[in-house]
Amino acid sequence: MDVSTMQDSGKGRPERAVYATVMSLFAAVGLAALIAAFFIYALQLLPTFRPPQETVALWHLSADQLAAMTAREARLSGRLGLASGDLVAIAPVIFLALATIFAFLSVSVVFIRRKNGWYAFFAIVQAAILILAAAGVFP
Amino acid sequence: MRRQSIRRLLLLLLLVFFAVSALYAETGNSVGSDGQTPWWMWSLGLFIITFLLGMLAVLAGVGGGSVYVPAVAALFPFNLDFVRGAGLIVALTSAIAAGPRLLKSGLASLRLSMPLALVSSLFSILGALVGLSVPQNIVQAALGVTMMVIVVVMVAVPRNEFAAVREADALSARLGIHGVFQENQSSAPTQWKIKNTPVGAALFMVIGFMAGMFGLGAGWANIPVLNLVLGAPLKIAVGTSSLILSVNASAAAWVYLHRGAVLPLVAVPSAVGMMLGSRIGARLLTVVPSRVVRWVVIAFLLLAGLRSLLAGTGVWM
Repeated sequence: MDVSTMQDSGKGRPERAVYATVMSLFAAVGLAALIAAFFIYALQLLPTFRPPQETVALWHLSADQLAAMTAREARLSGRLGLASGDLVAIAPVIFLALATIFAFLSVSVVFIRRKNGWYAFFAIVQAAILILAAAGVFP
Repeated sequence: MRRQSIRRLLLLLLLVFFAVSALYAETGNSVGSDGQTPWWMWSLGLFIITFLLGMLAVLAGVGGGSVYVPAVAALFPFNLDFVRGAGLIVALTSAIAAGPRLLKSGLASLRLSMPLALVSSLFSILGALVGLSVPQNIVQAALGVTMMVIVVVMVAVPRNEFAAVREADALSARLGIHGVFQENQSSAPTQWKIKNTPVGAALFMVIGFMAGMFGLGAGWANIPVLNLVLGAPLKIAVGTSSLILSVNASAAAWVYLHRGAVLPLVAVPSAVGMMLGSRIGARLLTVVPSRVVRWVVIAFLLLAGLRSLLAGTGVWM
């Protein structure tokens, strides 16, 4: 069998290992949590604002329409638009989306230690962009 | 004998795929929004379809993220917002799961990916904002056109295993983007470097925008740009594409999450189905006629793109 191997130059290895370790940690935990949380949500083990069967009747609406309807119903019923079951269902997705932020913050430390200005800059700016997106700065 | 039975199995799976697809296409619009069909049937159907899609996509040599949005938009009654949100989660989970292995085995270059992912992710956020703001029929028509472009890229653009770049451009030399390429254990290691970095960065802006706007995994575009425009060896291009994809998808996914466009009922079965299907597909790579599957997937993408274009323009609702 033809086994191909290709490598970055030797200089690139420490940050590569750090990035891979952070990503594999998030992938392992995130994927297991994704499946577990889905079953908690699907089996209604925790209360949800809107049970799955009701969601089926509304998924033809646009995201904006559904959000507006949820906000209106929440206001009328005096409840929050998200219950604990909804939060559990979406938490692993958020966790997976955080993976790249933590990976870039981790490699930025490696680049700073190695006095690699350009890549430290790229890693910090990339993490900042992702953090701003996660914070909902982009409307 | 074993090979023949696997071919038969593949043919059977293809038939099941199209039968289930046809069934959903037929029943989707009528029962999708009345709440009569049990919710778990939708999730199960989505899991089965994405499992088959993931398997076929790997066999056809395209990323699952590229086929997910057009296929699910054509077959299921979900609003396009939720399909695109789920598409980004599918692309993100696949890329995060594959990334560490690719990095550790040296098949992905972090240095090559970082500057390109930086510009690309900014534009994927912009694409997501535009995609969630413009009328949906325009997005759907544009998705149809994009699918046809993807088909053209798949059919017409060649790939280059290892085109040696004689001289790196000034920017990539300054950033130290280079590496060592060793075709196999008996061959001598060869240095690789890249060219046309500014042009590549500009193309990644466009790719990022499209990925964010349509919720697509953009491996279909990342790989040709990395390989043919920048001159990276094909295997490095494939691995590095996955790293760039993970950054693009997570950047755009935040916008979709904040807009409430990620439904766990749609996203989770899709992500799990696609990942399992891709793994099975990767195992079948050596024994199935991938050329035939590739053409089947190309035909499917063409039809899904045409369907999307006609639906977006109001010709076929």
